[in-house]
Amino acid sequence: MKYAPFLLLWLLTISLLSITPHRLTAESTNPDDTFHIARVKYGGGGDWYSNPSSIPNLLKFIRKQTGVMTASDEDVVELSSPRLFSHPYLYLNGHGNIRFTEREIEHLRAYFAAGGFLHADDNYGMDNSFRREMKRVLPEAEFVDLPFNHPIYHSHFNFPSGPPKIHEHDGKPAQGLGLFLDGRLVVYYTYQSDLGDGWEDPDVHNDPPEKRLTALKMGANIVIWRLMGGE
Amino acid sequence: MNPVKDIEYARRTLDQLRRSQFRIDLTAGLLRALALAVLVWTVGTGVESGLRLPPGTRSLLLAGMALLSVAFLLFTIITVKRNPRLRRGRFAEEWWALKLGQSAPDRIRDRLLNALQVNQPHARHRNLMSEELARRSLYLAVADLAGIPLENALDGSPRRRSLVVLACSALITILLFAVFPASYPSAAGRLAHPRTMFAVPPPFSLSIEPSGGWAYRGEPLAFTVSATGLAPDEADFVYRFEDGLERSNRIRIKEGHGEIKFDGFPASISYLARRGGIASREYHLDIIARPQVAELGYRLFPPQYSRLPMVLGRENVGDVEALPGSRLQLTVRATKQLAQGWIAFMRAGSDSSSVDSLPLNVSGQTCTGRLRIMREGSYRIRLVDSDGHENRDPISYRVRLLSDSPPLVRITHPAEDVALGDDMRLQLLVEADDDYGISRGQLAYRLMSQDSVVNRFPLEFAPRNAQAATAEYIWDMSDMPLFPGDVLEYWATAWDNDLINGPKRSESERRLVRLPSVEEIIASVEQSEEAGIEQAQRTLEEARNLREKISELVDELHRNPEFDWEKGREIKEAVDQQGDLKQQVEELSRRIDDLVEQLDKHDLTTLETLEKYQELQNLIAEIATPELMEAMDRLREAMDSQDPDKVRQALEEFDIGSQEFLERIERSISIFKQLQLERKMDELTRLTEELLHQQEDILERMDDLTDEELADRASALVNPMNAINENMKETAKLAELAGEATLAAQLDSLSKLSAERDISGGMRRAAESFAQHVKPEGRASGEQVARDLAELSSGLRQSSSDLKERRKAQLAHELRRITEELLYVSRSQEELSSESSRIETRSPRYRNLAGRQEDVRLALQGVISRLFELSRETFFITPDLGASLGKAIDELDRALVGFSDRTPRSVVSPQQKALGEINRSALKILNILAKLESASSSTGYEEMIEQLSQMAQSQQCLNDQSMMMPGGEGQQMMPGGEQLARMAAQQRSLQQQMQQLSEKGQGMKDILGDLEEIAGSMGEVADDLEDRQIDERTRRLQRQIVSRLLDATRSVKEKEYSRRRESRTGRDLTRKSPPALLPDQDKDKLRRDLLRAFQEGYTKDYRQLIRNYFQALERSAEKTSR
Repeated sequence: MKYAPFLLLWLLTISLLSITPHRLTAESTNPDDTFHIARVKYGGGGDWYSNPSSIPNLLKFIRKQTGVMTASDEDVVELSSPRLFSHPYLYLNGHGNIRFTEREIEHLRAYFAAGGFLHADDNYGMDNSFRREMKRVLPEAEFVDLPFNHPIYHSHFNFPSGPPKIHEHDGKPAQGLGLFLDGRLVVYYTYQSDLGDGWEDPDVHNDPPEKRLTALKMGANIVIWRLMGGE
Repeated sequence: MNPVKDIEYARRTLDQLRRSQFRIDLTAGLLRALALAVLVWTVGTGVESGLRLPPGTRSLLLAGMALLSVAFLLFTIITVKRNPRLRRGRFAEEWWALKLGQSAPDRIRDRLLNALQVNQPHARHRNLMSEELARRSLYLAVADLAGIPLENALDGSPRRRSLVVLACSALITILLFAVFPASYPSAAGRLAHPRTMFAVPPPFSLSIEPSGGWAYRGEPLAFTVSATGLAPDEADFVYRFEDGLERSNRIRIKEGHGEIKFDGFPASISYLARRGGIASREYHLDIIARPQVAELGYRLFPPQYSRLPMVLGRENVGDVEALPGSRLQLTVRATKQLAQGWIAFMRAGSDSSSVDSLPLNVSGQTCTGRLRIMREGSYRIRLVDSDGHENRDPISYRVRLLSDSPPLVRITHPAEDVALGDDMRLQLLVEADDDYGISRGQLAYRLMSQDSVVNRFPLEFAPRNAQAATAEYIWDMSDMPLFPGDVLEYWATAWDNDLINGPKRSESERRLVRLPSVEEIIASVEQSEEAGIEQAQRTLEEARNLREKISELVDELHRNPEFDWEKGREIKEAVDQQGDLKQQVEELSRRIDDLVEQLDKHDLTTLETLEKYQELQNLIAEIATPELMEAMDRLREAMDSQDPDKVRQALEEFDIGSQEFLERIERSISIFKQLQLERKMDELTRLTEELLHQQEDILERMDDLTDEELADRASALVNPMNAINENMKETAKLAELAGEATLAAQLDSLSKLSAERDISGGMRRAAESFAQHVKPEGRASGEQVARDLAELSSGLRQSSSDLKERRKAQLAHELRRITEELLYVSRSQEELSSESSRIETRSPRYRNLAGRQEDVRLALQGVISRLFELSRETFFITPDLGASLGKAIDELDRALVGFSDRTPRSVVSPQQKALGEINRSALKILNILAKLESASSSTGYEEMIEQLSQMAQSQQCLNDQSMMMPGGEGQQMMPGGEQLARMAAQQRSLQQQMQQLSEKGQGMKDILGDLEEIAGSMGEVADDLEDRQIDERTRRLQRQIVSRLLDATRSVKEKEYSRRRESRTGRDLTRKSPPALLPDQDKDKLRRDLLRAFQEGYTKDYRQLIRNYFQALERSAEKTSR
């Protein structure tokens, strides 16, 4: 265990390197030099695996629209895994209950402290448990409704009215909530928006093309904002 | 009679009188002597007082006074003793006998004197009278004495006079002492000590009032200095503190008195008055401090509803501003030990006598208390110390009530009166502000057409109890009994969270939402569309004029290269005009946007057409190309440089750009007009189907609604039907003008159908029947109308579909032809390139090849022209296709130049490039064709709708035939077995079709409902028909089948019309931006500024500079934060 700090430092360095601007160049041909999205596999009974086609579609869209070299498929990572620190960008969604173990909470806290970022997307039904678990991870932090002039809404595409509403659930407006740690936005939580559904294959939800496009654009915005070193 | 006794008696009586008078006179004499002695002593004292005699003289005076007093006494005694009346003897006896007789003249007179005189033993006349008579006279005289008051014979006046004299002299003495209190008493004192040497007294003496005692510290105090004697004009008031500090103040003495006032003394003093060497006594004044408030502090607890934090008052500042209901917790520390304390609260506006007292809890020097603030006023802290001293004039602290204003509520979205969309939903955004929080809200509405009651429902404001809260609500009015033309007035109400005085409420402005009639919607849409087309045509006309002007300018510059001021002005005007045209195009784009919004909102067209409009909008947005804008910029720069060559070159580029601008406008207008027809067809179809839906709804709810309601609903359909009829005629004319004769004919036919069936008449008849309470007739008319509308709607849908298909087919046909030609050009060019690559420089075939190259170029030009023409009719032909072919032409031109120069190298390369571009263009066209074909296959909904619609019609025919058959309650065997068998066969066929459709539509079960169930019902009807048993149940089943088929048809149609909604796609809700992040959460501010700077559209170099600048700023911020 005496090498743990060095290991952590190494992982952190790798993480930071992975988000440096040179990766934005489309000319890069190194297969490892691509942007990955890691889907969080959590416990508690919720469907962490929901919207299976969403992330590949989003990655494809980003590659096509922005020239960022992206992986073709998602990674799956458990919060208790050391591999967590090699993914600078996490994605979490689902409909049901979420429960983190103590070890997962510690890991996630360290991950955020090391500069990691999580995009959580309420697929309808995970709101209560997600908020509860995040309170356990960052007890001091409160969710903040991000103003519409936040760069996350303008990093590549323009969303002057905040996150788009992709699917109806409660008839409430979509919200983009943020959790800050030392002034950094470490969790971006799309609530009542359901971007994940919008990223899915067209025949899954039969969303009109423009809605899907909007969802993908917003997803790309989050990624690009993050890749540009957004805090 | 005993003369001896009588005479003794008489003599004794007379002696008694003499002694009494002696005592009186002696007393009177003594009193006189005393009076004289007093006078002597008074005079002597006066002499001493006035002369301040030396001791020897004073002793002499005193001796003289004593002698004189003794002399007066002796004189008095001697005088009395020597008075013969008062000395024992015969004279005194006879004088008193006479006096007694005179005091009783009636009885005695001189008889007693006579009796005494005659009874004297040695009387001279004794022998002259008888003894007896003498005794007898004596006897009688004595007898007369009895009962006579003797005191009448006494003279008391000397004693009274002496008393008066004594009193007078005493009075004089007292007066003198009183008038000269300083000198007379002291003189008397000195006389009392005649041999003592007395010092000379000062000319005056001083005294002070108050003469000692205590006073409150710091309170005003006045001293009066009195001077007696020769009072000086002024004196010094000297006071000394206990620490030895002495101070003096001069006082003016007037009439013996002078006053001095002090604002207050901080400590005890000793004081005296002094003038010259004469000083008053020294007095001591103890200064006592009253209890005072040494420290005052408070904590103010605002009422809980306000959620305001506790306020800690500033030290020793007791003024309070608070909301009603706030609790004030006071802590007072006094300067002394306290016995009691209380808060005296005086309400504002009341007289000073109206004071509420609230006792404080006292502990040593501290006291605390709580006060609930409910009204304005002021309060004082009153304290009493353990010695009973009370604080004086305590400070009055103000209590001001903060007002809790009523909330402010406003409807921010919609910002104005609006028309209700086809989805019957109104998105509301209500904002409310209050100084302390919004507790709840409500939306109220009423129908304007009636004096209807106001309905209300709660609005949920979030965040709750926040000062600024928002309620977002999608108001679904689909369940409300609204008819086209109805207007709802609505407003929001918000309550604040004032739990003390009760929540205050306020209402927003009132807004109207109108359910527009079909006619209005159509009119509005068409107006927008016409306005758009008109504007586009105006822009086109202006663009043409501008184009001519620019061409003339180019020619002029070619003719006369000199660039003068006049030309410069004209060019500038042209550039400005082009700028205006750009703005007009932007305005046109906005108009199309509005149109699209209207179409979408009222669901007047299909998604496909809607998308075409959006494409059109994109097309218009791209009319002003970046190249044109750059050409304008370059022209401006060239004009600034005044270089004729540059100006000419820039003008030529501008000319090309404006030509392209013109062509794009023409293309947009052309497509716009085409779309207008498609849009109108969609609109007609949609409206007819909507009418059908409403008619079916009437039929379905016939048992639930009253006759009046049914009549209202049925009559509400008439006007929309008339509008549809009118619209069909107008659209037919439009089709005629657009060269769509087939569509025009179809529409004419449908118009005739509507007229022949008199659909609107049927609606009217149904309404009249309902109004006359003849429901069966109303139902029959309604059913007929529904059938007619279904037929009309089907026809319109078919016509609309035909139009689109026809256009697609024509487009595909044209594109195929163009592709063939392009491929021919490609092949020709390939051969030519092959030959050109092998030819020698001096070959005679150069000319021939050059001619063939010219032919290829001309052929390609022809293709381009046809493509351009075609592009006016479709979006499929994109600008990049034109650009690709344009490049090919350019390369061919270069190749021709190569031919004329006889340089094989400069021929082959452009030829290859041109060939590449031609082939790429051909591929693009093939892609367009593929896209077109896939578009025509659509989603399969059309086919399904068609099939369901036809089956509904067939079923209706069967139903009609069944209705014609006799039958009623119970089973009955039917005649006409042949007809029944045919009907059964038809029913069976329909059942099979339905089963197939059911299998095909498995994935759409949620839309279509259970088609298998319909198939089952069809089977049952077929069984009945085969058994020749038609009864009421059979007919009911048949009606159900038609009804469900129509339902399924409508479901599919609605599914197609509003695919987005059916898939529960989210609707964008207008929402106010959350507040800005706190500074520690806003580390991205610099990045945001950078992004904004980029969005301004700077050049690359500038962007890099801006990036560097922001990076430097960020580094600087980081350093600062460290």
